[in-house]
Amino acid sequence: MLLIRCPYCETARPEVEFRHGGEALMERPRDPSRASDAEWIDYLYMRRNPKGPHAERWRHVHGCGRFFNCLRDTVSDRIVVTWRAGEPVPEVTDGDGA
Amino acid sequence: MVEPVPSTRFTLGNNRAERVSILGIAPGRQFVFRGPREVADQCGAAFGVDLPASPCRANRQDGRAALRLGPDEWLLIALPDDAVLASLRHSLSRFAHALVDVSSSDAVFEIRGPSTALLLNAAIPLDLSPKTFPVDACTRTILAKVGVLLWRTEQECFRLQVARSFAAYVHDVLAEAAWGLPDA
Repeated sequence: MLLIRCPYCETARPEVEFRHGGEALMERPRDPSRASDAEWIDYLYMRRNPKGPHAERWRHVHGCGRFFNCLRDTVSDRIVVTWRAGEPVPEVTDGDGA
Repeated sequence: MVEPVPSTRFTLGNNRAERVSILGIAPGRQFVFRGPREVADQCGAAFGVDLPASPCRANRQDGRAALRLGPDEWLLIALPDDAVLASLRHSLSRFAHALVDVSSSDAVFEIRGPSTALLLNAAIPLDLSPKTFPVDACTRTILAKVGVLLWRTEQECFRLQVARSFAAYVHDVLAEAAWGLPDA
């Protein structure tokens, strides 16, 4: 079982307390009425599927209930770092997020 | 208010009886308070117990307790005959907040004995060692398949809250796990 550090509870918690919430850091078009169809399609549906580090949203649904951001390696399933929603992406050191 | 969950003192046979007991207790008056830190301070002043600033911690005073469940969410627990709600509403009326009476929401178990943490770890994959989960640590988590609220009230005593409809399930999961406790 993965141990994931919740940035709000400030402790490492078992994976079963969490839900995956899709790709993180998606930027909504600033003026939707001026956005082209292609831009909307891009925002709504198109997602990266990288092999390696991937920024994701996770929710501590069976804990504090908060969404937060997480950098996870899709090859090793290693949680590299977690940080609070709305905060800048932290410098990645050698921490494992747990 | 709904009738309390029917619950009897559950003890284990033979030499396990002294090691752990699972007891249904009265939930008391319970309120969920949500609001920003400044309003939480007002709420704490009116409630008589400071709302904890540290995550997953509880404060207690004079039969009342405040548990921090999330960044802007606290559970306030008072005795069954405590009429604190009216004074809380009055004190907070000028501030943006949410205060909800959830007294009838949960069934409450008190689990006590030297093997309590070991028993809970049969169904809760959380580190319950005194170092990471000391007295007055509290959190929502998962027990087997249901969400619960866990609060360590003493070194060897936990308070476990669960939605009423899951009370029998949680009791039976723990009762069955208790039979697997190693002999003392």
